[in-house]
Amino acid sequence: MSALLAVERVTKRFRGLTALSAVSFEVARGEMAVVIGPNGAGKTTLFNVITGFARPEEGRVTLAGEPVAGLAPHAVVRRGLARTFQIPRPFKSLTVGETVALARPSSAGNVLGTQGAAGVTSAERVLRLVQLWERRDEPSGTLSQGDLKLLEVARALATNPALLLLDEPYAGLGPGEMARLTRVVMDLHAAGLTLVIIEHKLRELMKLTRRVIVLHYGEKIADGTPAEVSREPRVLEAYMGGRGGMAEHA
Amino acid sequence: MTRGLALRYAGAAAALGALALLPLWVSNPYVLSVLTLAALYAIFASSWDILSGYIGQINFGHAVFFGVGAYATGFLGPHLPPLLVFPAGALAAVVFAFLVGLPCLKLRGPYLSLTTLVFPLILERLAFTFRDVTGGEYGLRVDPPLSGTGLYFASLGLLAATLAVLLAVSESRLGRTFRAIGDDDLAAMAAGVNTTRHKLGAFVLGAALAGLGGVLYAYHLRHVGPEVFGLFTSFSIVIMGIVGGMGTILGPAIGAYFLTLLGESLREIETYRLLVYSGVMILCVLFLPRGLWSLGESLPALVRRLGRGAPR
Repeated sequence: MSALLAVERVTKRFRGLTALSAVSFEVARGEMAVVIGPNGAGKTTLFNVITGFARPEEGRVTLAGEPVAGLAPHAVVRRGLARTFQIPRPFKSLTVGETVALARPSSAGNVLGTQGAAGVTSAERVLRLVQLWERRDEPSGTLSQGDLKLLEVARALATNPALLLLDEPYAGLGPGEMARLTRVVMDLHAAGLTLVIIEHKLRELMKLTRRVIVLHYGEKIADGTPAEVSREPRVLEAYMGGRGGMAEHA
Repeated sequence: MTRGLALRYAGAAAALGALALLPLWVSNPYVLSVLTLAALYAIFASSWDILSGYIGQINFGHAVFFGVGAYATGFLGPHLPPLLVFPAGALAAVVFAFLVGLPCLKLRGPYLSLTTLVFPLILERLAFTFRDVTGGEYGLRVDPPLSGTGLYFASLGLLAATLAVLLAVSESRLGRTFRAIGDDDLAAMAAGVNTTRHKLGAFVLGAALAGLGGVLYAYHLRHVGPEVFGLFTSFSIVIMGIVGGMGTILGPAIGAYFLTLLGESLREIETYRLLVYSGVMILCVLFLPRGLWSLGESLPALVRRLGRGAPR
């Protein structure tokens, strides 16, 4: 499979602190990769750099071979790279339907020149996919935490992405809401959308993915299948200073 | 559009209609002059609202565009027919909107607000400095092409057109995008919105309308001087917007009428007018945080409760 996203030796510093240190990895078209790491590992900074919300000091980020690092966030979105936020950021003065309609794709389409790998472009299709169609006329600010997470996904999907980055989508959700979100993620993956997910709820994600990337203090310390990564000594050290700690994050 | 909103728009149209009929019964030039000023401030405040109320970027420098429109009238009035002075005033304001907006609108929050505050002060100083052109502290004399009643109708017509344009924008996809940026500009970026371009668009639209208002303002006062760029002008508009209800277009216009009429009734204590304005603003923030406009929502419920004889 050819790489859709390529992150090459990306370094990001905040004053004296190195948040990302020469991080490199690739994500193939249609792949689902999960980025994990303890708090402060640099996961959200990585997303911010990929999506144009932060500018890297060094390194390159390319989407289908086209550089995107350094572009403004809206320009990155137009290239086909969408994201959600860890804490939902709804447009409180808009309804659910208006939120998704606002994020409709530009006429230029994404960088692949397709209608999005998942093929979901209309507001109705997106809202039906995340099971929010019935709530389309409700103000976004009145949704539950679980629905807000799904609205984040819907807003990102409405931009017609080739690659979707989900930042801790399970954070703050109950078991029922997690199961609902898992179904949505599995549907998107089955439809061919490329996904990169930051998450701590490893038990949920191990059901979904065959690729895990581990960050620790801004460095990539492991990259492989869940089984490979869980045997990696540096990962075990990072998570609990010994054996068995990754399970605690599950 | 909700039924409540449609009712309030109909109420605003009825109020403008009533104001248009007022000269049939009121011929006192002083009253018409005050109402003309109120209409001009209403144009100024509602045009301010599109950037400050919708996008949430409080602009303390809106006086720049009003003042530039007014000075354009002073400069061009003697040389151009009045119908050309209006587009010239709007165009001059738009040019200044780009000059102010391009460096400012990449800033966020208080940094943008503080930066916008600087520009009217610079222009006020320039008006004093280049006195050969601007007339210095004496300003420029302006000959109005219309009588007082004619200016009253012109200001009312311009107010109606301004409100119609701004309400049409606010109900459109563009208006929803402005509101989304106001709610959360990072989320708007993540939704593919070019926030800087939209902020500049709102800035330019507000400037053009304020520039048109500035032309009529100069005709109304028959004069334009550096005080138009003063802090009082800029702060008055912010206070009118907050008292009326930000992010509603009609609210700031109501605030402008309310405070202009209040100001005229306080002529005896002219020096303390800004103090009274500020006091009214504080009371509004405390007891009516969404402004006078929100009375339209709470009054019907209050009337219903009173009708049932069980006030709570």
